[in-house]
Amino acid sequence: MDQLKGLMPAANQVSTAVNVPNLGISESHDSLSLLPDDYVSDMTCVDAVADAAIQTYSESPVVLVRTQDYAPADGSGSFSAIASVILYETAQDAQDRVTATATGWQACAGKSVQVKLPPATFVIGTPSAAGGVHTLVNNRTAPPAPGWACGRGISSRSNVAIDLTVCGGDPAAVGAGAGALVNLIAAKVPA
Amino acid sequence: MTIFSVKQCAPTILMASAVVALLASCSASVGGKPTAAPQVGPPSATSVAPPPGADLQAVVLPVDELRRLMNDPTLVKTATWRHAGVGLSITFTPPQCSVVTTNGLHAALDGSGQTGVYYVNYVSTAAPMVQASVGAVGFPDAGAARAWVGAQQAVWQQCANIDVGLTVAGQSGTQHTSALQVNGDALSIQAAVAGGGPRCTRTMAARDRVVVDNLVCSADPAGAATAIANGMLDKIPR
Repeated sequence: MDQLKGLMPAANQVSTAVNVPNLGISESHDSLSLLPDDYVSDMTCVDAVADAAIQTYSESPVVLVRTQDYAPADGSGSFSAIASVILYETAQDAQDRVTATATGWQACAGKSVQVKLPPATFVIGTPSAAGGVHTLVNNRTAPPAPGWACGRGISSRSNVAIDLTVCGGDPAAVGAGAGALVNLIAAKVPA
Repeated sequence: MTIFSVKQCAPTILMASAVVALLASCSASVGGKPTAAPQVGPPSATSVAPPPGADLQAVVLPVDELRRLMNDPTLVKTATWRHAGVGLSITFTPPQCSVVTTNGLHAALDGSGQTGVYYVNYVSTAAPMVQASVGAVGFPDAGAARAWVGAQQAVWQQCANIDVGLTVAGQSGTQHTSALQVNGDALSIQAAVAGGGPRCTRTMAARDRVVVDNLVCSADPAGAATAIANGMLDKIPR
């Protein structure tokens, strides 16, 4: 577990990667996210809106999980990053999980889904991939203001899957931030 | 996005049996080399229709049934294994007794001739040391299934009524195993962490071409372990 915790970047590293100053660590835990089974109006798209969701990850041979949340230290709530690393016994297992998630994203692209907590509607974007890192930007349409979008990012390195969500007011920034944060964590995984 | 967490990993070696059962290890190595693929061979010439993975999945009880049998409504699924596990960085003393403290390991399954495995892990969100790992292993025929149970019985017998040492991340502890119970093609053995804490019951039983291979941990797991194993056996078509 200590090795897994060691993969998590410090808050200032995340600040640099996502270009948001003064982030702090707001929460951390060693678990999958126990989302309710009706968390999203279309649960086949739960991976598109949530990282480390128990509904899908529990279908894979998960060994350990570490999740760490980052938010502005001033409590403004103007940004959030939730990063999860999921340990598998084999690199193939981690890669399979990433492939399954990315495939699910494709099937959900363009859909409008209602998220239960907090209540919101997101339009799921079109996924893209670069260098083995899959990213996706979901734009919130309700409530429409303030503008809010969440970038999703997922990749694997060795026997670790990296799955995270970066949310903020700028859709372009959260997409880029998700990719940058995935790469930051991936670089910490021993080859 | 996290609503709340399912604590998956106990912080102490003294809880290692349940941790081993469900999560392989709290000291699992990051960047470990891929393990060898489990030995999944083609069906034997005498096989009529070996149970594929989908059939094995049907042997596992629904979560609601597991919750009822374990008297824990907060039990949730945390992982699904369709291949054997290595147990990662845990050291067992004696080493062959790893298969008594957890299920689904290469140490037990390699060379067994199994045609497929399906293991599901559950943990209680209310009491994280209440855990279950339930599995079904397919074989080409009933004889092969019984032979595997027989082979495991010999190993379990070596590990009965002893203290099994576990070392995880430099921390060591022991579990005391009970006497091995054998009832036809069904095995059962209990392990209790030294100094108190949860107990774990390992069960293994064959029916037709399937072996049920379980580990159930709680304050008093024996009854639930038996009920779960019997419930799974009842789902195997004769």
